[in-house]
Amino acid sequence: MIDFLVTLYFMDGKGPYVWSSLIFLFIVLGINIFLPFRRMRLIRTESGKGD
Amino acid sequence: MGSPPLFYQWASAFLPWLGVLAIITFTVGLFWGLGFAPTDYKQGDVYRIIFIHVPSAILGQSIYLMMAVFGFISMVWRAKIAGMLLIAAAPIGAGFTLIALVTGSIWGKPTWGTWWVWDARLTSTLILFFLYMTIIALHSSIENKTKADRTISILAVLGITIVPIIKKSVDWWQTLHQPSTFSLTSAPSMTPDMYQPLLLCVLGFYLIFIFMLTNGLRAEIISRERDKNWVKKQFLNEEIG
Amino acid sequence: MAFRKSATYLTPLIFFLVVITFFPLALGPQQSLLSALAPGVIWISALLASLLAVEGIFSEDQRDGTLDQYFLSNEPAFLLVFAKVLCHWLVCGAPILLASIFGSMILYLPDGVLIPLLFSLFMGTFFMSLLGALGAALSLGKSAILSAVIVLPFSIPTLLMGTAIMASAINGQDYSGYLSIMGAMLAIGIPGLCILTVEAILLSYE
Repeated sequence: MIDFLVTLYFMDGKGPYVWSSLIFLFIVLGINIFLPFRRMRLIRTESGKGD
Repeated sequence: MGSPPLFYQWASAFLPWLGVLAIITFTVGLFWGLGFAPTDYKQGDVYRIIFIHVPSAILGQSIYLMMAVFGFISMVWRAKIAGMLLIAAAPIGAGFTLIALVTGSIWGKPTWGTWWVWDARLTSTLILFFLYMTIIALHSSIENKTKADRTISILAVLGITIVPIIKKSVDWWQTLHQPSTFSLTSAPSMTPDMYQPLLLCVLGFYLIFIFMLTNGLRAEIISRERDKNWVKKQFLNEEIG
Repeated sequence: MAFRKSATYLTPLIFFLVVITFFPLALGPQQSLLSALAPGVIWISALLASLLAVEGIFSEDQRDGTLDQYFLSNEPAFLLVFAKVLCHWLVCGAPILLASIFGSMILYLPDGVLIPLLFSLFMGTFFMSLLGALGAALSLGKSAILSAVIVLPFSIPTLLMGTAIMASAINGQDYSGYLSIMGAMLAIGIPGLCILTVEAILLSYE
């Protein structure tokens, strides 16, 4: 099990490349998912104040 | 059928299911590819970037095609929802194209020794990214959003017609300038063991896209209709999220 | 009418010349380097200059109401747009063409390339003016750069074609094939782009 995780982490010595790609993927997807939620939340708070 | 409140209700009802399905498929696909698919004999483990890179590239291109279809529908049938779908899809498509470019670059460094090379496919993907950016920029610069939608529709339809031409001309430009004996090893020839997780990843990415599109559409609808009564009654009384 | 404001035709010209000058300034005055870069640099500078030149083409007409007249007259609107772009090109684009001769000297353009350069630029700058007009119509009244940037990707085939013409001229090959392709682009582009520009203007009335 540990061996498996170790191989996974290092990826034949190229670990940083693979994992940075994955992290970048999550960053971009995360932004695209949270942006609409944020927009709606802002509209909510704006309208709330307006009343 | 074309009423925003209805679409909003639909979208909100679908969203959780979509999200769960997307996350499951996406995670399983990535786990499988990154962790369990066989190691490539030529490139070693670094080829696993392919499970992020290829689905992103596929999505980046298909989304632009979808945007052109939305644009066409918006122009011909004056369907407001098509216009909203178009602009909601744009940042998602741009994001995937950016991921494809960046992960491709990251993949290139250990395998070809360079962060970038002006081959036909990379160049075309870069240009596609620019096309996305111009659509987003133009839309945000026009205040009247209905007008913005229609303008963007023209741009999207124009864009899709120019894409094959650009691809052809970049291909031809490539052959003209005879790059040095740089034979880019394309993706490793894949066994079914590699193909399957890749397909699952592509499916997972598509589902995530639909999730993001639906969510983005909700935000777009609310944003445009915010002064209408149905928004005041329905949306503002909802629980956050 | 465009002569009234000399800024209209001087500005793109100055832009063109300054950009060309930037290259030796940034890269060093070495003849061999500049000579190799010259065709591409002249083309890019001309492309950018002619795109930017057209950016305000409709704003004055929009302001004083002439734009409405396009659609009220008996002539089809796209012909009027074409006429407008043509006049604009004669005033702004043609000087760029002449200035490119000067540019070719200061950048040490290889011998024998000047004529193909002029031919390709002639068609290229006109195509850019058409594209720029479409961009201006799409972003009527908005930022200038935006109108140019929107249509930049569409200029890529023209750029590739134009520089290919010059590359083959340098190699001594026959470039007439490329010229005819560019001519075809222009032939399709003139009606196509003018019609699209009309659509875009109509859009701004909604």
